[in-house]
Amino acid sequence: MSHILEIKGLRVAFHTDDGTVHALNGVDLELGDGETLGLVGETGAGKTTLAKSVMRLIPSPQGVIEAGKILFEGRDILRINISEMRGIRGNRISMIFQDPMSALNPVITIGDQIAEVIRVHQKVSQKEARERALVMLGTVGISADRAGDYPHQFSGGMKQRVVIAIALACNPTLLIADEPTTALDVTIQAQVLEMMANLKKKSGTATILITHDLGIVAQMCESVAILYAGEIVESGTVHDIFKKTLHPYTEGLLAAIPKINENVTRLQPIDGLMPDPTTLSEGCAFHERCTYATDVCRTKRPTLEMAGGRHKVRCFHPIAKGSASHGK
Amino acid sequence: MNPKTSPATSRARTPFEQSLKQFLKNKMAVAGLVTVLLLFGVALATIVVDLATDNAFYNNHIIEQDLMHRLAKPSMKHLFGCDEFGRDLFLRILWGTKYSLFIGIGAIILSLLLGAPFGMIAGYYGGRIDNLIMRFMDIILAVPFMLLAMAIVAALGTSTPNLLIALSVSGIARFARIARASVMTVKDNEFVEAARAIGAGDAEILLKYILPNALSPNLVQVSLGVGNSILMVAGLSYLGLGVQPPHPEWGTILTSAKIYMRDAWHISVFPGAFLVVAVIAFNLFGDGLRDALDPKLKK
Amino acid sequence: MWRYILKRCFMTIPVLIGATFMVFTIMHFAPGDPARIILGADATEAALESLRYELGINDPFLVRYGKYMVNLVHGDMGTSYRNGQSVTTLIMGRLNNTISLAMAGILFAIVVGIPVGIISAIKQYSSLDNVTMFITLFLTAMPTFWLALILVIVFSVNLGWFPASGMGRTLGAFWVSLILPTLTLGSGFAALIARTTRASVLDVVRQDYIDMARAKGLSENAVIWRHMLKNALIPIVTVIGLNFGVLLGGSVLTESIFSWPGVGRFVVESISFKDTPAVLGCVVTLAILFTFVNLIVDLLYAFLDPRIKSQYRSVWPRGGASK
Repeated sequence: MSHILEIKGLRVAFHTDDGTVHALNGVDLELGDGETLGLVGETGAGKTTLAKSVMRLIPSPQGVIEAGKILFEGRDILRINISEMRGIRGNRISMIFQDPMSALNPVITIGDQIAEVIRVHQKVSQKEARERALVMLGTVGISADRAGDYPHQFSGGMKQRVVIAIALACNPTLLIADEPTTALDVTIQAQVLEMMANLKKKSGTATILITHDLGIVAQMCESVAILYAGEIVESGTVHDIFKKTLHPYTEGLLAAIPKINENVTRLQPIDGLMPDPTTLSEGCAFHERCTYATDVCRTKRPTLEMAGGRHKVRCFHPIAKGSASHGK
Repeated sequence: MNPKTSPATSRARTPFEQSLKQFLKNKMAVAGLVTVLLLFGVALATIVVDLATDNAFYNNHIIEQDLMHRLAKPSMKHLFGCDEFGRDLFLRILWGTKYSLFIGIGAIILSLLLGAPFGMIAGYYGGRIDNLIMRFMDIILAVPFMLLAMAIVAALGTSTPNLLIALSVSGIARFARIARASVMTVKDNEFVEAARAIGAGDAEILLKYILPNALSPNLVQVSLGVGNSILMVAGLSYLGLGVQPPHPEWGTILTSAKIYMRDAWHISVFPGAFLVVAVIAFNLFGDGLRDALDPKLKK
Repeated sequence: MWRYILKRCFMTIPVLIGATFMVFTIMHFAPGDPARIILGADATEAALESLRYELGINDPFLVRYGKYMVNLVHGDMGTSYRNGQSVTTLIMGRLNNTISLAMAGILFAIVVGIPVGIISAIKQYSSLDNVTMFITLFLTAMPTFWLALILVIVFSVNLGWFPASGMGRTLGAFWVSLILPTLTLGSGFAALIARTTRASVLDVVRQDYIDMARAKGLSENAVIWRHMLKNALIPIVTVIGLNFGVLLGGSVLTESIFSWPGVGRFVVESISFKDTPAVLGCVVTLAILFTFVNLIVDLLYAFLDPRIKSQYRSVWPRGGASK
């Protein structure tokens, strides 16, 4: 399978008054053509930073891409010049922002906001762009006579559909959806996800679906990558992650999900918090919260190792059924 | 799983301490505060001297004319030179501090004390009371501040109480608006409902629950408004409608500056410079106060 | 849209009536006997009394107010105590001058303030930004009359480029004489606009929809002009509207300093001459002007921010907004 996106060793840091925040510490990721990858992580793990890095929307001068490559269709888009990148944004790679409430410009009609992205990338007239925008509105299930309305006249779910319409208007090869349903309530969430699944089937767009909800991952994704403290700690197919879990963090995430078909008295959270991003620790980023941690975990950093097929894990003691290497 | 201790708990500071720390980080604001305190010091010192010498110093150096030194340029003997009556300008300016400061601040505080209650009542009760009060405030605001002050002074005279009234009327409407807006944002909060549920009466709710939360925008407006107030006092005095000569209010001094500007630039420059410094100081302090009280507004 | 405009217009009328009532009441307390002012110190008591009767001074307060309002609607603001002329004529003759100065001031403030604010925001933390912030801080704290004095001392007395006072009569002289007063009146306002613009731009630039615009592949220019500007203008228009009153007040001072023959200077003169009808007339006129400007600013605001608009005509094929 050819990889439409390959991220190798991406390091991103932000320089603030309170210190340097190491947001991404060597991220490695692959996405196949037409595939949907679920990028899972807690708040602060670096998910949005990763998304923005691919779009090269990291705010400078505070934000710096310190190292790494992002290969899109074989080219390192971190090295191309900015006007070429602009040609790619919205056109070949699109992004859906997390909060639909603030992602739309309040003083421009939604129809114009969709038509805008069409006009930027395709040499068409204003009228032609508007007509295509109307088509997009239909695709996301919004009636065409609302094209002249302003964002504040729409509900959250509908705003998100507009955002999706904008993202897909130019038929991108890669779509990055940053928690597209987090800000919506559950029933709307289901609708939007269903719509996205249908659109994906029709257009075959490769997608990175960023979320903290493993249920959505199970429903929508073919492959998964778990992001923790700016690193990928486990990645593989959905089956690998859910059924052949290797990393203790992933295990903890799965165990924390409340099970509706079991009789449980207490939930099982993972104790502790993510490490402070302004200090890079020695050793594994997860070791303080890990029940399987040993001395080596405290002093050396594990690397991402192959574990069969597309399954990779970053751990000195990956969990394996019947393996003798875990436990204190 | 083994229980793990969570990382060190974040510093538990009272909101006041947090704001104070925030404020102190802002060097410009601190500079403003220091300058304001200095000005207060000068004003108080002059009052003390007057009381101690039973106005003798005042009469001798501020009021008495010494035509020998008429319009003298700045020198070692007279730091800022002399005015058209030979009076030392530096001393006059120092003695003028108290007018700008106290009338300026007094007018704003009066506006706050009179305006905020109206605004709070309007915001809290809403409906027709709100409408009535706000129309009234609109009427006050329909006349530009300066003109209204001038009209009141024309009608009532230039004594200090009248000046305070003249300068505070417009401010009343402004503070009413701000108080109303902040009450309206707070009153729908749940803790107010909770208070009502335990039987608190309207007055108690207003005073105990709403007032503390609605306070900070008003405080900020006070410190930002003092600067404007000081300029208004000076402006009125400049036009002859404020503090009357021979009292050395900074605006009053500048009235004669115009006549003698060709020969005596120093009379123009120094009082104005003090005005600018005072206003900047209050503005910086006010900005710093606002930033410290509402971190969301920081850059 | 039109309904909103009409509604707003209607709402200003009771406010204006209330304002005239308030000012009339204030001036009622003005000291001085008008009859004596007009006739002079050696008038006989009989003459004074008959004049008082004529002027209606002894009438009850509400009757006087009523008469005044009736006359006002007909454009008659009474007679000046100072020289017996119609106050309306005196004011109208000077109103143009005040308006031209005020407009020059606002235009200057906007034309200088907004670009400076935008550039400062874009180049935040640069030395240009810091210098601008310092200068604007200074300018907003400066008393108008002091700035005027300094400008006159430098440009009139020392350099002789501009006249120190008066309004030029010929076309060329008019513009030349307008410059210093405009700078005086407009500088503080320009500084305020620059600061507000900068803050507004900085705030808008942080919004998600700006990032979204970039994510669409728009050039930085398009992001600024098409997405940021209209949003940033909203608070700026608010500030301009709120401070127009201060500008009018400043014009009083400016006109006095430069002996600019406008309503502002007339008011100051009238006060010192205890010419109550003239003072009343000036304040009422300026209040009306002020309210009118506020109305325009409010409407402009509604036009800029679609969240305020209640109706909108769409350019889209099926037209009309649904709700």
